[in-house]
Amino acid sequence: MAELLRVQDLQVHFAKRQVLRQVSFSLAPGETLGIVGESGCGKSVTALAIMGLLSRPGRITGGQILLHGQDLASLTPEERRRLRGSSMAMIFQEPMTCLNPVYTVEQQISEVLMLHRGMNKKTAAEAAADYLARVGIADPKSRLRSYPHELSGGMRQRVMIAMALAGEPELLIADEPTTALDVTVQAQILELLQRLQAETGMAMILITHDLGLVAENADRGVVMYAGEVVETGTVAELFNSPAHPYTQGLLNSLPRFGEQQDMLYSIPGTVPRDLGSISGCAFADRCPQVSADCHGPQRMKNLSSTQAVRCHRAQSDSQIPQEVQDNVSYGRAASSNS
Amino acid sequence: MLKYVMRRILVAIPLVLGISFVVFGLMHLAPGDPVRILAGREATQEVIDSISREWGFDKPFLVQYFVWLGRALRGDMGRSVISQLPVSFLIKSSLGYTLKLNFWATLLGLAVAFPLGILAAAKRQTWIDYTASALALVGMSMPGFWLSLVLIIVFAVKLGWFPTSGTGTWAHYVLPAAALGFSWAAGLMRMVRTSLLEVLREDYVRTARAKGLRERVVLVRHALRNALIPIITVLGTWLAYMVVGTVIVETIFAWPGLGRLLTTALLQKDFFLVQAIILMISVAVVAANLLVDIMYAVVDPRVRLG
Repeated sequence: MAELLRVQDLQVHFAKRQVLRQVSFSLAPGETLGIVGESGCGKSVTALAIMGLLSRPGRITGGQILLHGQDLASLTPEERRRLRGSSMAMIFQEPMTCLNPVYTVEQQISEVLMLHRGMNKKTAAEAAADYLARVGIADPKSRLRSYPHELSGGMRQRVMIAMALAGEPELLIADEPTTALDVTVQAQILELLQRLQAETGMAMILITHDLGLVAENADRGVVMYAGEVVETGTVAELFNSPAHPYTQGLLNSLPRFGEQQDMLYSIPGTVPRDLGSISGCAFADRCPQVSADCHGPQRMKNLSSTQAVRCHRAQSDSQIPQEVQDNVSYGRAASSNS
Repeated sequence: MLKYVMRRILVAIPLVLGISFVVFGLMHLAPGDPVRILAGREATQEVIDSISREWGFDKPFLVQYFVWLGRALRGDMGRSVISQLPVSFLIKSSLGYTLKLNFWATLLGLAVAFPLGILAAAKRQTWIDYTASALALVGMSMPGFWLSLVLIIVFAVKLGWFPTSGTGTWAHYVLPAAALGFSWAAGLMRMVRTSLLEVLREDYVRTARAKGLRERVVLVRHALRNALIPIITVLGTWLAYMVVGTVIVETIFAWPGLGRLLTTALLQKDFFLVQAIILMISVAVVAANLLVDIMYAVVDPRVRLG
């Protein structure tokens, strides 16, 4: 399968401060990639960089973003703009503030249809109603006339999804799409995204701080820490044989069903702010297994054809017999390939 | 929407009545007895008494107020003490001039403030922004009377392009409209810039960009419409300010409008005329605010609920 998106050694600075370094991952058509990490580790910045939506003083200072093998940096701003909303669409964390409060749902969806699909106002209005129906909004015809403040959070996120779908994207970036929503609504939205993905065959990048969401929704995962990719792998690999101490820490801090726990594990410390000053492993300060070698430069090390980790200790610590991995399936990750 | 507008109008009515009472009361507290001015310096007590009766000044204060209010509602604002002409006639003949001047000044102000403000916000922290903001600062710092005088000295006296005063041709409008419009535009431009910059940080602007809309569309359709809400508030205050500003500018340019009528009337202690004009200005301010409230509802669907 040809690659849809490849991010290669991406670097981003905000003014003088480096916030992303050597971020690399790739995505096949129709695949779902989960990007996990704590707040401030560069997940959203990565997404905005891919979309070309970094706002000043943020800018890409190194690396490449390739869509169908074409370097996006080689495009003019105008060509870049045409990709947004059509080839790649994005939905955001805060459905409450992401819709324009002074326009109706119809106006906001039609806008995309008229811009990217060349529809006129009338056909766009009809198509917009179809999209509302597809994202599971009841009575779409009358909802078209609603303003955002008349909708609930879950409905607004559905409208955002409808807007993103309207451009028929190959890639949908969902930046914490359910974080601001009630738990029951979260499940509905994720289910909806999965269903739409199966229908349209689009690839999805699901950005979240919740490893559980990645397990249930993604094929592969990228674990980010302090602006770096520290581990990538299939969902099964990340859950069964996490190689990086940070991934292990994240897994340990998930509550486990049916297990008596007085206190949830939490990784001590916080994400460092300035990456420029760190030469070795950014996680060393918080790592329970830290050693002298951690303060030297760390390279990504391949553990299998699909799993790689940025930790020099990896090989010795996380050798897990192959048959254990094969026997465990997490969600649809192990079975599906839509 | 209609309900909202009706409610706003109903609220405005008691407000106007309250203002009329305050205006009437203040005029009575102000120094200068209108009867003495009417009667002249050497009038006898009998003459003063008869004039007082004739104009109704002998009645108790509240009675006078209601008589005046009743007449005013029928369009009869009394007569000028000086010229004996009906106040409503005097106002009618000068109101047109003021409205025309204000119209051009407003148009000029909007035409300068909006493009510059939008440009400054879109190109923030570039020389365009700095130049526009510096201009606005200069414009805001110049008092209207001073700007008027400078305009007269430069464009009328030195260059001779426009007349110094009077009305008649379009050329007569240029200097007073510029004097009024520019100082107004300066404040408005800064407001447009600030408000737009604030809105540009909103999530829905990022959404608009993520849709692939042209930056111009993002700015005008998505950002400006939202930025208008605070701008409209300021617009209302400025409208009120314009009425006051007109008083000074009209006097300097000898513009036969409401402002100059008011200054003349004040100097001559033309009691009924002053009362009527101040009432008119107050009503204009209330009307401007009403307009602002209605504009809110037009611009922002969330207001229509309230």
